[in-house]
Amino acid sequence: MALEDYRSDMEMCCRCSICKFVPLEKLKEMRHSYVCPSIARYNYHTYSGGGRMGMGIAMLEKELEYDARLLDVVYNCQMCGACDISCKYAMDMEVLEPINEIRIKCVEDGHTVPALDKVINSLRKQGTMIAGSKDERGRWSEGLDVKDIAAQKAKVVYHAGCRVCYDEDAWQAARASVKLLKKAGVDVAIAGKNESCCGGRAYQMGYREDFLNQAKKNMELIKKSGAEILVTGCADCYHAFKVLYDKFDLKGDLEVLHVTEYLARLIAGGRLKPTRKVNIEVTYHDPCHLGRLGEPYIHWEGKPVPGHIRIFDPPKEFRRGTYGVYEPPRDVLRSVPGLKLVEMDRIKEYAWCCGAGGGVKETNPDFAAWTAAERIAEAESTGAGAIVTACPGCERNLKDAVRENGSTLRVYDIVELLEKAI
Amino acid sequence: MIAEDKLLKLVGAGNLDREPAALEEYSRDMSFVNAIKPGCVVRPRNTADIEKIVKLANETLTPLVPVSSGPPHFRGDTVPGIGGAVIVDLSGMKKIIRVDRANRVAMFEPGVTFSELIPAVAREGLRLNMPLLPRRSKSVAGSLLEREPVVMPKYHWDIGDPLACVEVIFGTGDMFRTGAAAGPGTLEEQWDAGGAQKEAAGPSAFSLYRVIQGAQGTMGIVTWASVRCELIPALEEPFLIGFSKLDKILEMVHWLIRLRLVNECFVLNKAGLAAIMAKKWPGDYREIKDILPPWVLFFNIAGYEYLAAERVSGQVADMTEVAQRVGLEPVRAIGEIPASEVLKTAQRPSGEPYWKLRNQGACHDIFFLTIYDNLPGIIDVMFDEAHAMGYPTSEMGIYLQPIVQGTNCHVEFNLFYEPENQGETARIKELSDRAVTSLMAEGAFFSRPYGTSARTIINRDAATVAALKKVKSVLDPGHIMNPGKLCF
Repeated sequence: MALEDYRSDMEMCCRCSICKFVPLEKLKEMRHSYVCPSIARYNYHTYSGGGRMGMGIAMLEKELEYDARLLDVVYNCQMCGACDISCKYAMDMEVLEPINEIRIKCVEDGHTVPALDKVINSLRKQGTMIAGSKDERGRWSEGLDVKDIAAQKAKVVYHAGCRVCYDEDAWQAARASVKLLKKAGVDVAIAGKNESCCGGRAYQMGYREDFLNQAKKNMELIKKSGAEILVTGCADCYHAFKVLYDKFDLKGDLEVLHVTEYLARLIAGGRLKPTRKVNIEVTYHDPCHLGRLGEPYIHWEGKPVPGHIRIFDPPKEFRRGTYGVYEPPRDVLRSVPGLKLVEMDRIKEYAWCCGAGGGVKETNPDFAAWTAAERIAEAESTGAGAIVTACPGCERNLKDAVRENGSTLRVYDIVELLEKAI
Repeated sequence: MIAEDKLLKLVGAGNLDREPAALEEYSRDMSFVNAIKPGCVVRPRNTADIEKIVKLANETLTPLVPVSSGPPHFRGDTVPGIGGAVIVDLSGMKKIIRVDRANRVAMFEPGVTFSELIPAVAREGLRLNMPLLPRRSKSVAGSLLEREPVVMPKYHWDIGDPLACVEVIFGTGDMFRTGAAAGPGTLEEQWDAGGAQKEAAGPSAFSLYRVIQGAQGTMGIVTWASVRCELIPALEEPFLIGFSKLDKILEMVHWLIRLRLVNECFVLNKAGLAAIMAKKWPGDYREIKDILPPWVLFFNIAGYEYLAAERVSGQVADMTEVAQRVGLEPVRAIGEIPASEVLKTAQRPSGEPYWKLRNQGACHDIFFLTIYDNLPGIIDVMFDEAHAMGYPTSEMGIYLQPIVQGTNCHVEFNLFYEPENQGETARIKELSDRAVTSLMAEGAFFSRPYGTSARTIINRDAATVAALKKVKSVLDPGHIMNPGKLCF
């Protein structure tokens, strides 16, 4: 697909601005009505989903020249997909896909930003999106008695992801995940230093070819290992393996599960029994790539039927975030004795992004921090003592925001709390 | 007290009852209100009788308690609030005055029950927008005046629907006709001129039906009512959706009604649906309840005279797309419960015994209006109160009926209990009292306050009480109409 393929989607936009907000029917609180961080921060239409549709058409029509202002709009977006899902509450049109295609077009036309080029150089050289050497990648698992997928066969492979491998704050959750899986009798292995970036973030930054290279490498490794299930604790990786790999017909029969999905299954099946009390009141932050963007990819081949009303032959089923992973993380939290879960105003399909996605943390750390601070304030308004998430990327950005804003809120990965209860 | 000879002269010996057994029957019902024996029971035969009874009652300041449905009664509104009252039993007034196919409206006396009116309108190709499984002896006029929720929110435009017009003898003794029936001319003259007594509002901006509805007989006695009817569909395709979480069910309900795709549409919890569908007790009830998911949404898609199949197939496709968006799966049966059976059940009155009594012999309902957003909190509050009183929440029936185009929702908790068990009866009464207070705090709007909770509810709004008393003083200055009810 290319930007041109989404022309009719972009032309569908009627500037209703629903893409900026939580749909009215789902709105719980006026102060938390924005769903798109980009428009909430910059308050200029082009920064919204709808504005980007107009920008895409203008690029196709060659009415816009590449300049710093254009790239500022293009890259100040977390690619969180909130605009897409809010729009689809009432409309049948793609929003996130053309936004992604705009970035791909920028990269193909050679108009990128230095911060992202640096990240991609690291990916090309070291196989990681986070600064660090390939040899260091397996350090998080030192001392864990776990199979190495390169040497031993296993049914399940645990993919840690770049953030975990190079951010020591995220090690505890990843190590706990492997320990809990083993405790439940799961035949699990890791790739250690042979693990490589999923490539998902590269795709959302617009570097499609780099993503495809990573995806092919990863699937080769997994196929060779014979693993049937890939489990990850990273929402970005989950989205890449489950959705993007499928979109490019690379996933095959591999079952992709987020670790909370697997743990929820194990708890429901009685193979893990949380018994120790963890007296804490928490609120849960839905990672965008696990929630609204985490629903399966829907393959469709067809064409619009000519006429005034935009319909498709065969009928096109749109991804609206309905089938994202919302309940398993909450089920895991509910299984912890003593833990009380309170919800924020913007949850599930309409969750506010943590701010780190789409390369924003690299290109515009201020915007990433502002977005996270908004989420922290929303979490504080629930009265909870902690915000829990299911992605090391979200965890990192939320922790940074807590520190920078002097908040007393604690930040946890779900698995850390589950480990305390078992 | 009206002298017996005057009443005898008025209605004849066969229509006046002072037998202890009859008086005992009217002195109590299945609610928790105190038993008070009436002085006598009079059965008027027509409007003229009623006018004379009200005149006599005003002369002697005798309380009158109008009753139109047959037993059993559940809400305390037909039990005299003070001694010496005359029960005005309208259940013998069974004339179906007119069924008008072209205007889709039927007119009938207060003693007409659902099981009598349904076949009468069906002969003209019409049907009623029904409450969910009324008891066989329930008066249609009584149901309409009580604003019982109806199962087709698509045809429910106003909280007063489907009641159209009424004729009422106020406490003053004056006869008045509401809405389009107000005039000019007699009913016959209106019919000759093409009138149909279908418009509820009026005359002009004076919509007195709103005062009479929900008044529990405290303003006057209705002598006939007219009801908006709907066409009988040529083709119907009913569906069920079961799910564990209420939020998705409510999302589906919202879209189905917003897109005007469905006729009958309501939500029951598994205890509620099992209680309705069970044929053999208690085996069937347990078996059905065990297989059902916690919440079940029922809805029905219908086609009419023209292009019925095309309409139904198009709407089924639209409904399927909505379900996919919401993440639910519509089915034609859940376990042994086919949607077609639920539809049949919902389109007629309850079998005997009444479905609410089949479970344990008695049932106390707590019902009110709210908006969808409040529902999860409200259900949690009710469960907390039930837990606190030791009532098993798994045995509690819950009925959610979207009304007025889905803009709000009737919520009903059915507390089934054994009436012979005094301890349990007392516990249900206490649970009800506690729950009403807690539910109000959570956003429940008790638009129809009955029985022992009525004063708790109505006293929250002193300004409304003052206004209602002013209206009452105009329409019933002698305070003879069902004294002791609501805030009167």
